[in-house]
Amino acid sequence: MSVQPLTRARWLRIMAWYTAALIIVAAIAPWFGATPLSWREVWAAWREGGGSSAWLIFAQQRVPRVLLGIVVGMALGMAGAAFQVLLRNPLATPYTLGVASAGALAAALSLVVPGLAAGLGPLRATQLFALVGSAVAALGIFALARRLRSGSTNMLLLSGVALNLFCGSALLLVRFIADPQHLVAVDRWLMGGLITVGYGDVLGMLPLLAAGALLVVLRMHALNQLSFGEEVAGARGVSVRAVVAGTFFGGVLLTAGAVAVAGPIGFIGLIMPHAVRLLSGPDQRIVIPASALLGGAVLVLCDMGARTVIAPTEIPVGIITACLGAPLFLLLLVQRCR
Amino acid sequence: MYAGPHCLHNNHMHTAADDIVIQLRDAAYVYPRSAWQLGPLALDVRGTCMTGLIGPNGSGKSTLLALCARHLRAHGSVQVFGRPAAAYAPREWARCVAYLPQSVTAQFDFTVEETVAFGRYPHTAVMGFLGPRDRAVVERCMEQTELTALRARRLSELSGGERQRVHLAAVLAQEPRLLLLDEPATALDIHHQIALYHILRACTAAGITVLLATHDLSLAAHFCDELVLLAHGSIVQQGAPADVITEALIQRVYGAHVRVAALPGSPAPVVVPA
Repeated sequence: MSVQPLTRARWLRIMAWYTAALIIVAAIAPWFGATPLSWREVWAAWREGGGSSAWLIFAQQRVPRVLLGIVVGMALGMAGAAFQVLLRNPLATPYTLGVASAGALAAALSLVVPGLAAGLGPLRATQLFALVGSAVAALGIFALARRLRSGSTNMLLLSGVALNLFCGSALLLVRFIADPQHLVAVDRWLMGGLITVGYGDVLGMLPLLAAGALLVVLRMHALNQLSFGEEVAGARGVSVRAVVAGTFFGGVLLTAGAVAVAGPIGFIGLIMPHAVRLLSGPDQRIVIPASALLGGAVLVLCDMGARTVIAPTEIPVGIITACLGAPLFLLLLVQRCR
Repeated sequence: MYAGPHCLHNNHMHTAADDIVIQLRDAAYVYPRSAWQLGPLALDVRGTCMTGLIGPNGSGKSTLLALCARHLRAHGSVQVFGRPAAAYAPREWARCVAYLPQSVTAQFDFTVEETVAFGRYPHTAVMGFLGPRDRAVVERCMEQTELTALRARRLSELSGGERQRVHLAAVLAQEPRLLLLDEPATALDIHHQIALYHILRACTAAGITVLLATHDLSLAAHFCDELVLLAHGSIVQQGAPADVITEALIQRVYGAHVRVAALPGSPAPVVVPA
């Protein structure tokens, strides 16, 4: 971890390391799963123009799934980093503000109310409802924080806690009223997973996630200033309200998009920023993109575990991220503090 | 101690002592749900001078500084360098005016050098990478504040006074034409208090205008060209230190029994307990 101000050369070098890690994981992951695949088989199938079952598994299941893992992991890692600095709270996650809970509530509604199972364009019903629920919650929270203005980060946190509690209870109500045959679907969705076939899920969500990432990435250095407080940031020429609003909506887009397509996968958003700060220092110009890259790599790795640990059955990847993430993170902390 | 007039380097418009750099007219500020109010008041701060804001706790020093720094939006008019403060674009403003609040808390454990370099924000592009000139300025500001030896230390490893010097260095690295400082000397030992005032005098010599709030009347009287005495949100007296720091005024405004003495060979008054 360097002690000098960040230079372009060092920034590029660090980004290259994290990118390399992501690429290596992504290159290994498709070869593991319930059905063993050898690269010879896949290569031969591709030469023949596809069509064999090996090729179908590889191209229509494994690869899309790895891509989805990269995209979702990146979104959650970046959103976590953005919210931790925006809310000035190291415990903040993409789910702290309750935006994802509102999305989950709406998605659960679409699963239990038969009339609501309507998709739109490339989006399935759960995805559409999760996005709409998140959007409504985000706009509500933002309007509330605007009205409260001063000390708004604490108010944002508190209203987020309240929204989380409300959505949690509402979700219980939905499950209580629901026809029991729908409950399994709701439970599975809430556990979070990367089950996908083909490239529709990835491509459908990509514009939304790219827009969110752009909103955050353009403000990385302004967020460095904001970490010294709004007063200092404003005095240095940061348009505080614009940066807060842009980062907030960027983080919301990333979270809502990731949750809509993969359910509320935990831990990535909380742990990745901490891991990057421990490895590479607290500069947001590193923390934000590196949390994304590391988040992608870790989620793909966890999903590889989810597919293989008790194959042919799959464990929801959200369970793996928490089970592996917590001890690894503690190990990192202990090593750092020694 | 005097690190030279580097601050002038970036000033395209020269400020002279006759210029009024800050001009407040009918400026007032009311905190929400509070009976306390600053102003309405009028204030002129002369260019290339060091002006000290003094007054008891709660007299409005910080609020007045925050109005000048446009951190708080005043009722009435606040003109800086002849333009309404609100008319500046954010980065343009930050290249003219630097403001050091009373307490700065860092959320993350940056190093000294990183923190000072963050002061270059209004001079760098969106990613904030430093050019050769930026690095030279950072180096000079660390030297000026005697932080060069501490450059690799993290903020959490520093004492309160050292940390205050880091934030001061970051403000200097902004290369402003107007410096607004809220009690910059509070956590400093006597050596660094005096060193701070010498740095600020070097700044005024280089054409920078300094407005600072302080509780140390004797040091303020010694180093400032002009003092502004505040009480209950209004200006009681403004003028040369000897005209503001008088036994009668200090006793009335602060409610403290003091004597104002003069040291041989120094025109500045010294405040001691009666």
